[in-house]
Amino acid sequence: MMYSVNHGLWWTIFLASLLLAPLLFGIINKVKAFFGGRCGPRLLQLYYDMFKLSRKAGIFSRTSSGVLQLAPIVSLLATVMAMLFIPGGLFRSPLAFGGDVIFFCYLLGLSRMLTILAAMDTGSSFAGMGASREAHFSVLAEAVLFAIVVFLAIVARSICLSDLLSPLSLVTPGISVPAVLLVAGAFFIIILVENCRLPFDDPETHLELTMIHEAMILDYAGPELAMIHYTASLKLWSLCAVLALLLLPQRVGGALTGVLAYLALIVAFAVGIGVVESIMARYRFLKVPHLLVGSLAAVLTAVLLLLFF
Amino acid sequence: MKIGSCSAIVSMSALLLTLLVLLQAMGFTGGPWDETQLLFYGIGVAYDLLSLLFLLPVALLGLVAAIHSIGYLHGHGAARSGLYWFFYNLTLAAMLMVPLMRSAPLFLLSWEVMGIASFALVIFDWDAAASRRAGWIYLLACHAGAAFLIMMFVANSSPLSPGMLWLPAVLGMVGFGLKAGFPLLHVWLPSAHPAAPAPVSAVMSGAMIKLGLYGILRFVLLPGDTLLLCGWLLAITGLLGALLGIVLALPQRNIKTLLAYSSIENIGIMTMAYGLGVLGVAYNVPGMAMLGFTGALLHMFNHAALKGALFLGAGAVYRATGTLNMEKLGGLMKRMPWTGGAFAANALSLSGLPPGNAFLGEFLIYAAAFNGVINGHGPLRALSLLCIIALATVGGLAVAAYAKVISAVFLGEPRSDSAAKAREVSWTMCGSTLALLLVNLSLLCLAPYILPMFTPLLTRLAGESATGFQVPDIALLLSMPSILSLLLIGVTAAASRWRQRLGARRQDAEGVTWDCGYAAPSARMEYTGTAFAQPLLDAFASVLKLRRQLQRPVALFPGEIRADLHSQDLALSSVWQPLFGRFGRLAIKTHSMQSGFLHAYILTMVLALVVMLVWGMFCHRVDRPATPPTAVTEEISK
Amino acid sequence: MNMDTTFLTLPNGAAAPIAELPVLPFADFRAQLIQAVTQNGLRVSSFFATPASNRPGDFELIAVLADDRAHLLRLAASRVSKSYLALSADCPAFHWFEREIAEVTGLICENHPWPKPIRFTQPTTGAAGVLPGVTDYLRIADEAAHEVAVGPVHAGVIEPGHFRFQCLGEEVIFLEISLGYQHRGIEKMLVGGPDVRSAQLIECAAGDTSIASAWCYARLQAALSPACQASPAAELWRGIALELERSANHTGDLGALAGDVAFLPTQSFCGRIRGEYLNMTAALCGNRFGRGYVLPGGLRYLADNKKIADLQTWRKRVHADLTNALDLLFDTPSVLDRFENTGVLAPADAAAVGIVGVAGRASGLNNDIRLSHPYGPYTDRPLSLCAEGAGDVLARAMVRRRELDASNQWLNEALNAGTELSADEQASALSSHHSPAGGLAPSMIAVSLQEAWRGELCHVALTDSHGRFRHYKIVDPSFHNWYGLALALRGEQISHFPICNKSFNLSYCGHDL
Repeated sequence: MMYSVNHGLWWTIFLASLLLAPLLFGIINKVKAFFGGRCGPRLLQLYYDMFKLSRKAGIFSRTSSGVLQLAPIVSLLATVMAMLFIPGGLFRSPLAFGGDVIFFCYLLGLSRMLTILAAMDTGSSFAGMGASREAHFSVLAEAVLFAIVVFLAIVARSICLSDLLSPLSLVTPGISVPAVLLVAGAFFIIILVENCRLPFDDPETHLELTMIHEAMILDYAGPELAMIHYTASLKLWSLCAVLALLLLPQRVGGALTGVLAYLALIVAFAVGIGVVESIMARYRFLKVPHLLVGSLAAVLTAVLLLLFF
Repeated sequence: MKIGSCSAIVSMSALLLTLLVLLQAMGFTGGPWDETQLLFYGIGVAYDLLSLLFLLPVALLGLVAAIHSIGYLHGHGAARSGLYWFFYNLTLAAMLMVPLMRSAPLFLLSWEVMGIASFALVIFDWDAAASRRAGWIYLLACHAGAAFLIMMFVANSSPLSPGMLWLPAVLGMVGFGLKAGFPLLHVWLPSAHPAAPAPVSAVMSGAMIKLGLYGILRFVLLPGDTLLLCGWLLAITGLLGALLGIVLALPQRNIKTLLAYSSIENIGIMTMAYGLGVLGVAYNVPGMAMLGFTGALLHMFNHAALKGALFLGAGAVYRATGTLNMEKLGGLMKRMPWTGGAFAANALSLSGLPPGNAFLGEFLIYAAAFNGVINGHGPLRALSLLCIIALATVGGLAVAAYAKVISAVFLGEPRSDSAAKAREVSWTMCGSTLALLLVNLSLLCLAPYILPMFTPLLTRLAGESATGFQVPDIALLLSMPSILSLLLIGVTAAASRWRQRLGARRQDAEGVTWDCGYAAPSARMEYTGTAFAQPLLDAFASVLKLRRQLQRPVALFPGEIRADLHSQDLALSSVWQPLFGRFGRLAIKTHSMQSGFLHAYILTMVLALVVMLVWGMFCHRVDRPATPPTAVTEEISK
Repeated sequence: MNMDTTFLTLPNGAAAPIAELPVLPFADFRAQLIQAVTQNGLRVSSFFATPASNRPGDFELIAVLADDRAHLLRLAASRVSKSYLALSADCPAFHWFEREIAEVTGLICENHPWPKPIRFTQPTTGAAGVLPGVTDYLRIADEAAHEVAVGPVHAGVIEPGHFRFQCLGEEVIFLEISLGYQHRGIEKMLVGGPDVRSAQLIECAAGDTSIASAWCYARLQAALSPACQASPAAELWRGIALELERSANHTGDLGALAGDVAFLPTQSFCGRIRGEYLNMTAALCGNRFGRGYVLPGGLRYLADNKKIADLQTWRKRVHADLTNALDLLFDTPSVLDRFENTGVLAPADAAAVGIVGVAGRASGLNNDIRLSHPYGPYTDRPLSLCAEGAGDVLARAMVRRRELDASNQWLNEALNAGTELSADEQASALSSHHSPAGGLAPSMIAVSLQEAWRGELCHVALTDSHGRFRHYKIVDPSFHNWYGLALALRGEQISHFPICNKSFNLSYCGHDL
């Protein structure tokens, strides 16, 4: 079943996504606090933080040369632009075009590149460390992501994100369930690595030497930091939304039910991330590539399953 | 000095003229054409759209690099400048000739002149041993390539049994591949590019190596049985070249060596795209064919302008600091804002990210591969899948490599005095880089409109197909990313402007980079380029043959820690050096035959003649009647 | 070699007249010490220089070696002026001590392999100012290498110290640690004591080792003054307090290790359980860190039988929780993967530089003062030795875990013994004075060793002719172990530094004094 076209509703959902994205971090933190037996920060804490930060004056490193200022803006805009191609709930993106999935992936890549450059712009060894790790892991993550796109492209016979995500679900006849599960699992791992969550990165840590994302943004403050937090939440939302659409049964009923199921799945992934972070330790960096190569193998297996069974 | 300037002006005006004529030819003939335009057909000189396609980068880079050369050569003596200009013009002339020559002797002649003239430019800095060595390797590669090409032309013109049709194709592939920098055949490239003056590297990397691809398109890719073979060869060579190039680019410390390896990567991507195109034709997947050829073509333009600009930028850095070693640079963005800004923008673009123009080409190549995955079958599908994953991996690695260059050279704190004292270079050098940036920006805007001009060529390459996947469709496909990229640039500019105003109002402050409160921070405490790439290098250590000589501190109180980190080129260290070494040893062994006595030599000759006579009488005569019938029956049975 | 004539031999927590301390010619002194340490297996517990009483400008070097097999301490002295041939050149165990001597006295240790300051204190000579942490760090001779400078201000709520990593990418080739940011001059303040402040000053040398420090000081006083002798009951309660301190800290460390690998459950549990141990300490001592509980001559407070019974049930409950939390930690593969083979300190290196305590036992060194130089309640109620051999983070975590069990066992027996004490015995434990009323024995040297939770704590006191402290030397276990951390990081991934550091968990203020 294809997505219906309703631009009005799509824009509504898009704007709602922009508003709701920071909530995901609140949910993750609440889940982690629950497992730790604490109350944890408020659900809306990130909104308060962002509001507070956005009203401050900026402060930039004397070493930096403008890339530091530019990067958060580009990252934010690139991520928002990437979100434009995600079908919202049950509605096709009005900007969808053939190949937009490549554009989507590369926009996220742009955001990452700018963050890396900004980190190196400070001349800080911690930021350099984070940037170097980010560059390393993203190479593999990119490969896995594109392998997943290949899988979806074979199913949908298209490379438009709005078509790619529509026909596939666990309940679609003719597609092997293990293959879908492998792809979904691999995508979940991609969500974790792209958003610098456990077991790849520990967003809570205060130890500069073990950070990835947090180390890169160590020298940010004020409105820039608010932008970075917001970008991070949008990125998490986007990838969760894609996974949600991937798994969402298409015939869940009317538009309202569909949209609610979509949002519920996104929240469920946030809870899932919280649970993962509560029950496992982070990997040593040398082991991270193993996991990523493993998920690449999983996706390739899924492709084989799709083609031959 | 005067000779140099005059020469520069002459070469510039000649190039300008060429460019104008070429553009005029496109504009005035009223739309797309692809007829062969005869110049002096009697002696085999002609041009068509394919020639034009490859002449454009030559003309463009030749002009811009000439302007850059004026600044670059400043301070060199008249004699050296004169030599430079002579060989520069000769190289350009030869490069302009190559796509116009249709007959084998003329083509080979201009090809050779191109090689030898550029050899003279490579050893421009002949006092340095490294330059001379690079020059010799280059000369060797040029001649080996020419030898293969001669064999190819001979094989092409001689009647071949159908079982031997692959021979000229493979010979051509090797001969042209040596120029283009195919994997294993690339070894001259990473040493010649850094040795040559930056404008020459720009021309060589941006335009000359692509003439290798031109040769393949013109002389190797002939319709017929070899198409399938060529397609597979191109696709797999390209895939390997792209991966090998970018992986080997990562550990380099010299900016130009890194850029040279990146050229191998990009040639790889183009070759892969041509391969996909050819396979699309061979397997009758029209969309893939069209997208592949178009993507390759677009990427070629993009790479020419981008890599040219990057080499010119590297030249500017060299002139300003006296070094190309990235570990000794840093912090140049503040000191050379124009060069730095242009370099960063070009590098960002060449890493394949939007809103850069290189993304558009890669976008089409991705689309071609996806088309193969969706519409292809069997091995084609597997190959397309591999291409997509390779492209994604190469993309990620390119991001890492270019992030390394940008940050090690332009960001952070300077790591040496010369970098700290660097100033912006003269307007000729700055301007040429900026001009190329402008070209790139226009490629981003205009790619959807330029492509239809090449419709006849593309249709000829990709074959007429009824299924209706045509150039205008592709142009339409490209228009979305193109428009959105421009939108992104525009909105970013507006937003950062707004942010600056806000900052002025709120009085944004400056502070130190977080130094943990330490009393005496230094530039040694920032990540070096090698350090940045280290995790990736470790992952590829086996491929890179990363030699890591590190005197690890084992004593409780070590006196010193010495380290020597160098990566070797796998092709050089594992293939060519052992091979040539073995040949060398073999050659030394033949010394024993060199007794110095005339009668010994005569005896050897007589013996050889006798052996040949015996072989001719017994073996050959017996074979002759036996072979042809079997070959014929085999052909019939096929 | 006859140890009995070359050295003054003392049991743990005893004193002797300074006159009995043999003052050897320096060449003999050097040779004997090096032989004792490198060949006879003695350990350097303390080594310091004190101004010679008769000749200004000269210094007396005093070494305290621990002979674990004979359960004795062996002391020797020599006199030097201006400079002497460093012992570290032949015996690395002295190297940190000699760096300290050079920094404090201005003596030149010739041929010292690593002649750098350890605390960056302002030189006594009044020469040009020293910037904290600024020295010539050993560098990798390659432009591609870089340095990572961490500290003195850290992101977490921890003490200041400067770590300088020489790295190639992610790999640490070499680490140097510069401390001294917490230097307060405690030893100097103690000279001329004891007075009412002395006990408090000593408790604050390392705040998390208050009980061990105070006990060490109390036993030193007891050796120097008969009025300060503590009753067996007092010693028993001091032991209980010390084991509570050990349990609290080990629990905290294991929780922090879990936190550093982002393993939330154990981190959260241990955070709470550490609090429980601290609260038990507060119930017993009146202060969560046991401040002011141990006094010269006895204790400040007594515990009645109801309190003991409460503590007993509390301990049981907390230990059950702790076992659960730790089982979770040590059963999680992702955690073990992080701990195993990380930050290995080879046993040979550990022995060579003289690592003590938890880190030493994790590297296969079987030293535990409670067993090798037993004192007080440990004499008739020994604990089991908890040693591992691998020397990695896992080994250090395992040693802590096993010590927690051993302490728990010991606490159980000791608390039971506490209930069986008669009222008189209980009352005898009480001390009323902060400083000895009658002053200390004049011209004595006294040594006291403790197994604090990090390891061996050594106090040495010299009294002058008026029974006042002429010199007071504190050697915190961290003093021995900082170099061990630096060694463990060589060739390690820089991202492993936090858990390596946490697995040693050394004290900055205890080292800096």
